[in-house]
Amino acid sequence: MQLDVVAAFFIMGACAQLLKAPIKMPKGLYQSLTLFLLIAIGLKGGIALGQYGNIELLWQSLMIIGFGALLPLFAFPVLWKIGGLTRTDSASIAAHYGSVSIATFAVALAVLEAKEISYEPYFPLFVALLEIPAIAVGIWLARGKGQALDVKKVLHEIFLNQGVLLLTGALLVGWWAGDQTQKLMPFFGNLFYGVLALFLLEMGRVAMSRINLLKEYGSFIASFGVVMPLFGAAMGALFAQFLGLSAGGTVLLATLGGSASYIAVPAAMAVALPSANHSLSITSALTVTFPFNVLVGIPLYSTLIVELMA
Amino acid sequence: MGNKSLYFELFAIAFLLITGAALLMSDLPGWGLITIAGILSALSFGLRKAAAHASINISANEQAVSAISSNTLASHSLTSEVA
Repeated sequence: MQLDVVAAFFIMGACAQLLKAPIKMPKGLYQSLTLFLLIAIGLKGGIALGQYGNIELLWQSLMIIGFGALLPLFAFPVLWKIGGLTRTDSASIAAHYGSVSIATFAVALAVLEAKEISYEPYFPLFVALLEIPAIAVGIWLARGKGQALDVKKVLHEIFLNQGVLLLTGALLVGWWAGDQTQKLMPFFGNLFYGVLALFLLEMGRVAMSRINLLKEYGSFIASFGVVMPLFGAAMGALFAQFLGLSAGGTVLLATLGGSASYIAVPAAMAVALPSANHSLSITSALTVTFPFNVLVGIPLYSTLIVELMA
Repeated sequence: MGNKSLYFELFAIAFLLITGAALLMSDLPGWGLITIAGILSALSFGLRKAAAHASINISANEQAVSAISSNTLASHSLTSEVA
């Protein structure tokens, strides 16, 4: 199993943090790198959307929304009935695992491009679509706890959070601008992998800075953080086959199914379910699932799927 | 709850080990899953041992506190009887 070069930067950041020699990044750089990645992925997807958009894509998009709504329904009973977490915490974590991680998606893109495996170029559209339904399902699963819900504020967080807004906005710009977007590509295209490496360096540090919280939350959440991505990835791969996607597209949907959000969903859950333990869900998604996907999951999904579909 | 979560963890570890071994036998990358199974086993065992140790300490402290308070009561009643 060959590790991609960008994933090596994640290990570097993680090791530095574990050795208590944290790499000092300027404040706000992490935020800037996130913005860059969201816009770069959105623009690329938007250009492809202009070229490949058709009625079949609309059908696939509807199915993708269904897939996003389905995943929390599997995660919730495991967390609630087996893990013994509260209903609100279970619903909140289930929403994180039903949604997707843009950084995990970016690593999967890097791996596919390094291995020269082709994929459906309009995939960023699916990423934007997968961000939303799990949040709504998570809120629905937590119902009945007598929590007052500020619908306007919740809808604002669901549809206008930074991830969805920038990704959808960049998709629309790329789709509308078409060839004009090439002017931006020396920045958003050529620098993509360098920025992703920097982002992962910081992510490695951030992920390992929360590792002590695992002692507090127990080993169940660590096991869940590994089993759920494998289950989600298997579901994603099966779903991709149902949608007739290529081998690269199957790897990407498996990766998205196996990933857990730690940017968009925490913000939405903080508004919708303020009584949930947000630190627990972020620790699970960021300290367990993200490293698992980057270091083990994506290399495994890509090798296995390409081998099986060859 | 404790048992259910333990069974889930055991299932996770067994699943990772078996899948990892099956992948290795098919010349596919399985070492990652086996390594993760090892880490999860160590975490599960370590955290349970630490929790059991902490609970023994708490129970010993409680027994000590109760013994001290019963001794105090006994000595107080003896003092009253003598008086």
